[in-house]
Amino acid sequence: MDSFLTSRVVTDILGGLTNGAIYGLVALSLVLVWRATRVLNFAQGAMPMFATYLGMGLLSYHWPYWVCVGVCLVAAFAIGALTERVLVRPLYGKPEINPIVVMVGYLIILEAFAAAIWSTTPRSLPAPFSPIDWRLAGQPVGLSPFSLFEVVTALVVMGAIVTLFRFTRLGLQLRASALAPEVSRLLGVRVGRMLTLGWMLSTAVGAVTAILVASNFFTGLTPQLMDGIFAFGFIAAAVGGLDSPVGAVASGIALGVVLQFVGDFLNSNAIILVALGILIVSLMVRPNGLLTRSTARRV
Amino acid sequence: MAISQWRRVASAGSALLLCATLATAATSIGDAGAASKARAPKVPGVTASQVTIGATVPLTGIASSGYNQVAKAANAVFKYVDSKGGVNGRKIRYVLEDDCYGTPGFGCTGVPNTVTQTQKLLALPVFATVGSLGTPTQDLVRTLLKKNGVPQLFVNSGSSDWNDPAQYPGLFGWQPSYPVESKILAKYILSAYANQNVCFLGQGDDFGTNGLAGLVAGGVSPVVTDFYSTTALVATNGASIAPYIQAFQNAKCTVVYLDTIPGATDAALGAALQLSYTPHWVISSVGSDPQTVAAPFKSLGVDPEVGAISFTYLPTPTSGSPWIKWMYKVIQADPTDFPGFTSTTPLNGNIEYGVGFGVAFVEALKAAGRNFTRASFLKLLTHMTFTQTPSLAPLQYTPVNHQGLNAGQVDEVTSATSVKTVSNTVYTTNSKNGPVTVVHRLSSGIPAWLR
Repeated sequence: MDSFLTSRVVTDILGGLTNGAIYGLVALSLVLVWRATRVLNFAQGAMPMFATYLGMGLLSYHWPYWVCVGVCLVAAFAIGALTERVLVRPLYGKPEINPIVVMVGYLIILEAFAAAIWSTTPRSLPAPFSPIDWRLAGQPVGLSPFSLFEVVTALVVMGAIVTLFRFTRLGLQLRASALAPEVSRLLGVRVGRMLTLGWMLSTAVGAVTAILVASNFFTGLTPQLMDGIFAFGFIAAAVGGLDSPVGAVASGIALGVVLQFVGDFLNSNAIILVALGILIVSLMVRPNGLLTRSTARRV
Repeated sequence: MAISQWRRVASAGSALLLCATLATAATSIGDAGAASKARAPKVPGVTASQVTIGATVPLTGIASSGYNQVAKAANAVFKYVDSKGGVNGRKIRYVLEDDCYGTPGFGCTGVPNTVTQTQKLLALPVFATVGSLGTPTQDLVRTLLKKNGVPQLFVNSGSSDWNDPAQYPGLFGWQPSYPVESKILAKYILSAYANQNVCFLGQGDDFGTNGLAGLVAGGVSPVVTDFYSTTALVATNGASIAPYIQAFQNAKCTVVYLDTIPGATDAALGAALQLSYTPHWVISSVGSDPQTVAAPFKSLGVDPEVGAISFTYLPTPTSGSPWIKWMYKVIQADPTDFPGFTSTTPLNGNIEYGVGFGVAFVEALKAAGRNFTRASFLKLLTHMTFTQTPSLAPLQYTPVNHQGLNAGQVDEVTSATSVKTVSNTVYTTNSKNGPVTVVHRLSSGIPAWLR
């Protein structure tokens, strides 16, 4: 049993689950924005990064850790709302490429501003739990208290989002505003407010992700914190289907595990190639995403 | 409708993502020539009262962490010298263009194109470029600078590309080449860790391959050798390094040699920490600066780099070298570029590096006298031994060797801010198969005219 738990395969699966939970959360935040406003948000990594600097920067003033996390979430809500109202709203009804280009520009501006304000030197964030792997009979298991926390957080956030969308009045209004804004408006739903709320939720999910990524002692908090992670999250969302929160998280976790095996058994330099290969193949074979069920809406 | 819209957006988004990924790999080579149209003075960049030099450096962007201080430290030397009346009646003006290491994004606020930025320097014009940073970036402008007759001095990189006098007579390196460093470290490994398994991780370019060649030439044969790609390193926030460290642990290596940049050093040390793997670390000077490496670990309360063996060709801050005191004086005199730097701020390797080549340029300019041309200056360099700079052993060029320094000593990281020398012996060797020998003639103290 011990040797099984510390075997190479199990270690890879556990390590992959941890990375995949992060990719899944990024994918989930992309899905939220897509479902609400049909915008593919390339600044989905940079907006939460900015919120993380604003919130976790208070650690320097000896604010308690969890209070800082709360400030991050508030900052994320604010950034999400402001972005939707000021930057995105004028783009509705324009060709799809317009918001993409605007959001890429926004990404570059946010990273440059963060670098100008806080510099590019990495800042160390304390992990709330130990990042050292548990050991069994002297061998590392491939799972630490912190990585377990990452996986649990991803599942809890996903559960909360699914519950919100499926089982609450607010969730129903959010879905209705996204799918049939005219009808919703006639029925008295404040559509504009719902769209803003979608962006706020998405940025908050992003902020939770950014805090987890920055707590990883490989990198610390930097302006370009989310660049690489965003690419993997995007691939997960594209493979899982941008309309499916469960699909996004599931394919994020699957992507994490696959890439962990690629890194261990093939070569970790091949991780990006394999990830982009998966993206291309999945867009060719199932362009709507693996878990999207909305074929009936095709016109 | 929704689906076809998603398909179009997904395709556009994917194409953009692919482009962004590939763009970091491809760098265009711009058109040379248009630069020096303005009627140049007799010696370009030199007037009766001023010498203008320049450099392209990563002040922002992917490689800026730590490296953004190097050229500023050199400039602090020039400002200090200027405040004492300059060199032979001329002040030194040092123009820095931010090329973001040629890579867009990552907080880059300069122009991520070394060719464009170099052309700006040519248009000034500059007498020479001094201390421009990066192997791929400086390789890109070798021909451009040669075509315009502009000396390319003290390139900030340990590549052997700078030592090609037949092809590039105006090109000069400064720091010891990667093989020189790894050969001297190999000598230490053979004596301190005799008969232990050594594993090697290097960067997948000439930094890693030259370093490994030196290690092998020095008599150390690693049982596992791996090379990481910087693209994967950046994209995975360092996670791509973990499998190598796991493999080293499985191979029961008790010594791990790293030819890594600081970010990769962090990833390697972090992965080992996670695995409770504690080999003896030997880390080349490129990726071992204690402050830079310690930064991401600060909140963890441990610094896994403590105890690591590294290499230096400059005096260690705790060595009591008079140069260290002088560096504090010079840096503190420049609050514009080093705000808040006090006598208790730890001195890091990047600042020492910049001061090192800055002083070397000043020494050369002083030796050149009042009247010189680019040609006479280069001729002087190729016959010069710099005895009055901070480097441990004198910097020396010959007509057939433009590499630069070729000596240094082994040190040990003792905390997040300091290193101590393992022994005061300074060794020298060449980049090929020559032996590693002890240097007897060390650099002198600070010359009176610099005090």
